[in-house]
Amino acid sequence: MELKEFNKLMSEQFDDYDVSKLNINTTFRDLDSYDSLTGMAMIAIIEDEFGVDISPEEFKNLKTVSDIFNFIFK
Amino acid sequence: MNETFLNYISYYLPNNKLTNIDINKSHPEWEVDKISSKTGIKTRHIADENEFSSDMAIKAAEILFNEHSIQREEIEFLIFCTQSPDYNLPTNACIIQDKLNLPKTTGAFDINLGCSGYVYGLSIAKAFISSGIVNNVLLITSDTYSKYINPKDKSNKTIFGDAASASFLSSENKKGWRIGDFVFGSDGKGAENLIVKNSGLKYSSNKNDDNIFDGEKFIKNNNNLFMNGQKIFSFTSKSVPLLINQVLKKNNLSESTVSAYLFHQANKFMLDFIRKKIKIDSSKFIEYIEDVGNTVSSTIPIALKEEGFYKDYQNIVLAGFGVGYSWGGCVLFKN
Repeated sequence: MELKEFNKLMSEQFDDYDVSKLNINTTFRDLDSYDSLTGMAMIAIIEDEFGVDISPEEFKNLKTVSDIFNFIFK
Repeated sequence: MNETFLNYISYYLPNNKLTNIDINKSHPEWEVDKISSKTGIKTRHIADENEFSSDMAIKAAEILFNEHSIQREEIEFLIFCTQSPDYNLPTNACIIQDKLNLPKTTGAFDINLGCSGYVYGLSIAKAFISSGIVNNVLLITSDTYSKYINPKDKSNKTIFGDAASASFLSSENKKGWRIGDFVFGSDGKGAENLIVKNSGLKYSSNKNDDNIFDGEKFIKNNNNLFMNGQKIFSFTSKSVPLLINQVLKKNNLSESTVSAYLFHQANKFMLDFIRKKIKIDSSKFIEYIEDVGNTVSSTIPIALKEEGFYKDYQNIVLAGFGVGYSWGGCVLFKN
């Protein structure tokens, strides 16, 4: 999967206003529509779609979509 | 083999309400609008201090008898689904049989299941009726999770509401729904992720069991309901799409021939996430949570009564999933 496509997948978890501001290097936790539920959905995608286990602590250390991408495909 | 029909549903909600404004008062960091937009819940009903699951069960059944002119003398079997029973023993269903003045010839027992409970209850009722053991079953679900929730636990307080439902099933079709085939699943590895640890004999309730915090954030108290939201979310996201796939196959349905889907109403955020994952059109997806919250085994019958039962659907796919882990699905057919 390409980084651009991956960003699209992750951006589906944010509301429209934030999606316009979200690129691979945005600190997504700073966006208004991010909260712990958004985090849960992102973790569920990482685990389900990509079969990679991630602990809440590991997830906390990922700041951008690019960080998540690198975590999965490193 | 006899067919089995789900003919009538009624439900009861306690009078006390807990609104988002109330939650915001005790937890100011949670904005009123955000709670409703994320969870889809505006109000939950909370059982009175002296109102227990059997009391609510009896009220739901009385409403059912009145609304649908059911003669209590005709009830042959009572199944009571709860995880917040008045007693561990005796079986609470016997107490309910007595208080409802059901015949002494009525068979009665409890089943201990949560969010999957209604689907399992339907399957047991169908097994009893289709095999000819009895002609009808009264299926009651009732839970007061509010009594398990720690006052500092804003997450669970926000999600769960108390309620009871009563359903009447029989071998005779009274303009009801024929019950199709079932799919089940269990995975006890997830037991610790949704649990009241000190609720049985293994770990009995400890008055000194202190609240555990992570900084300011309340984490758990073993005397209370504990939910690991992340684990439950991941379990749901993984298991429900597979469940739906199996249920459609077993009932010879395809995506295009399904009229409507009704899942356990956990919360709006999770429901929308699963709906998009399975690619279900929102017009086929029943949601009824705003005024009741997550009422555990009563979410499906309540939503069914309000948004499914009397609508012009040919079939409705039901799916229950959660605490256990336990999951189950089936299809209701109009003809």
